[in-house]
Amino acid sequence: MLMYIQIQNVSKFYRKGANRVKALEKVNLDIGLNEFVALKGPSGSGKTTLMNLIGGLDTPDAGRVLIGGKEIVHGSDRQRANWRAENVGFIFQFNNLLSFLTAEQNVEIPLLLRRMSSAERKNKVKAVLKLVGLGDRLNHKPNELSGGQEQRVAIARAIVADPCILLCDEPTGDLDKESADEVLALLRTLKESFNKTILMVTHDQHASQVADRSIILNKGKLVIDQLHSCGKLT
Amino acid sequence: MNSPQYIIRNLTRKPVHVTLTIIPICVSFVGFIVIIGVRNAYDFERELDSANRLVTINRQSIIQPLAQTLPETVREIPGVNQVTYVTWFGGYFEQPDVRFAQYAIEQSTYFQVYNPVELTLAEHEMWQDEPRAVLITEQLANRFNWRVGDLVTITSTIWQQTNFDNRWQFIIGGIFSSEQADTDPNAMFIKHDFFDNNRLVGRGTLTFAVTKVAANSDIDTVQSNIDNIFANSRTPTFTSRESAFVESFQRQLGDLGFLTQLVMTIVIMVVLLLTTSSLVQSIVERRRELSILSAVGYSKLRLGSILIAEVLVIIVGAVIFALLFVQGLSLAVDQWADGSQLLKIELNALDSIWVFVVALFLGSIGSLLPLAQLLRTDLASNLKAGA
Repeated sequence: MLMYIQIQNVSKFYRKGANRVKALEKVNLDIGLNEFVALKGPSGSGKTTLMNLIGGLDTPDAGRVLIGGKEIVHGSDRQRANWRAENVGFIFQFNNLLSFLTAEQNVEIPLLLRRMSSAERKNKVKAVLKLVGLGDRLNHKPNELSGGQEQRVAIARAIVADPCILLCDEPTGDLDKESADEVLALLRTLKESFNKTILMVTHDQHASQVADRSIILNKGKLVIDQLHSCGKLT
Repeated sequence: MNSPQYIIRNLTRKPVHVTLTIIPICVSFVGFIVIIGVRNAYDFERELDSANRLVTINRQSIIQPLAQTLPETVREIPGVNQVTYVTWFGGYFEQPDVRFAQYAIEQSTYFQVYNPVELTLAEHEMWQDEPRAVLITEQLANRFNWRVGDLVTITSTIWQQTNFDNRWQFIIGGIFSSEQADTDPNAMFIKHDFFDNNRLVGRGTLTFAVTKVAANSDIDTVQSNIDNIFANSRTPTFTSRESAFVESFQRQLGDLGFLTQLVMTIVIMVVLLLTTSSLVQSIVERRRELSILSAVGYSKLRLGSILIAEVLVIIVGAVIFALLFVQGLSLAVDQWADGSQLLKIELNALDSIWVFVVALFLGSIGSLLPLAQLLRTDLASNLKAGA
């Protein structure tokens, strides 16, 4: 398998008052193109830190993060932001959407950074919302949507700019089982039909079974790397 | 949706907050714009300076008269082109609160010192031949619907006639444009001879004399020469440039220079404080939103630009409201003061642009500190689940 995301000897530390707290310590990890990986571990194990490093939201104190064989730009905030806009889509656990915008406008936000006509943007947004099953909810604001629908809008926003990588931080953490299954099925579809590489932080055993592979972090170290047999919803 | 629409949507989600931010900025700019407008209205000082005229009054006070022999003496001073004199009539029409400026002018010299006015042949003849004839501005004629030949009675609060009556009857002899004569838009010129012959007291005196200095002469020298001549007389004089004379009237309303500085200081403080606090508040309150935008590819600089643009839209909105308010105020004042130059707010397009430039500059300066704060903020830390 072609290795798309490569984490090489990555360490990251944070300052908490006078103390230096270890978030990741010499982590090595390879994720293949079009792979769906569940990232698990107790709170404070470094999951979100690893996700932020892969997404270019943060920079490692040591080691390298390579995407498609190229090291992530550690340059200016602007360069990293441009890189994110091109390559990564983020989905968070909650408060994902901007409350004063409609579903359509929320999804349109990443496209405002691109040179596109208004009509092009609108067409793309409509197509993506239709893909996530919300073609009839374009003008609904977040408070008019269910939790599952909100998450699907967030997924639509994450994929509207057509990035290769989707980084999901507890995307089903706030959802009931039915809505969680819908979101997981959608992520699975994105992997299978649209060749997305997905890294999903989760505490949920059921959610992690949907992935092709589970990685468990503990105290900043990679402790288990396990392939799943089917990677399908049960 | 495009970026400006996004900014507007963001602003409209908290209308109370936006309104409470706009109001103080708007109020402070109203003060600033009014001061600019009032200064503009007094800007005719510069034009007066170029007219090379000096005004001489009694050194004690303008209400103390000077002798009518003064102009003859002044005419002898080298560099003097012509001298005329004026007496303040101080009257009203029908009701004590219906006031306008009435000047008794020395008719043979006044229009040699000031620009001549255009009169029709009939008007000119009436002005020459009829002792009670007065000249009025077009604005005054419109105000009272006066026509040439109308008999009008003006009651003077200063001067009684020889029959002890302070109601003076005049005939409208001519109507002229106030701009032509460099005078108040609501002015009436009375013939000094007629006025002098019929007043009970004060004959042979004048309120102030106006000297036209020859173009090739030094106005300052003439100014000091006039006062030197009368220094040891019974009525020592005080001579100043016409602009300074007008300015002394303005000072009765307040020191415009000081007021400008005061209002400008208030505007700077208000705009800087509100811009800074509004932006800092936005960064704190909208940390999660900014973090999400950062995750989807917005750089901190771009996020900062959006926040600054929001504040600048608020400031521009406040300035627009302030300009509209002052325009309305200007019209109201104009109507109330009937075009008097001493009570006027004049705004032109350049002033409006200048106000916008000042507002945007102050808003940008006030944004620098919060922007620096945003650039230092670790937005990624707000994206953790539960953050």
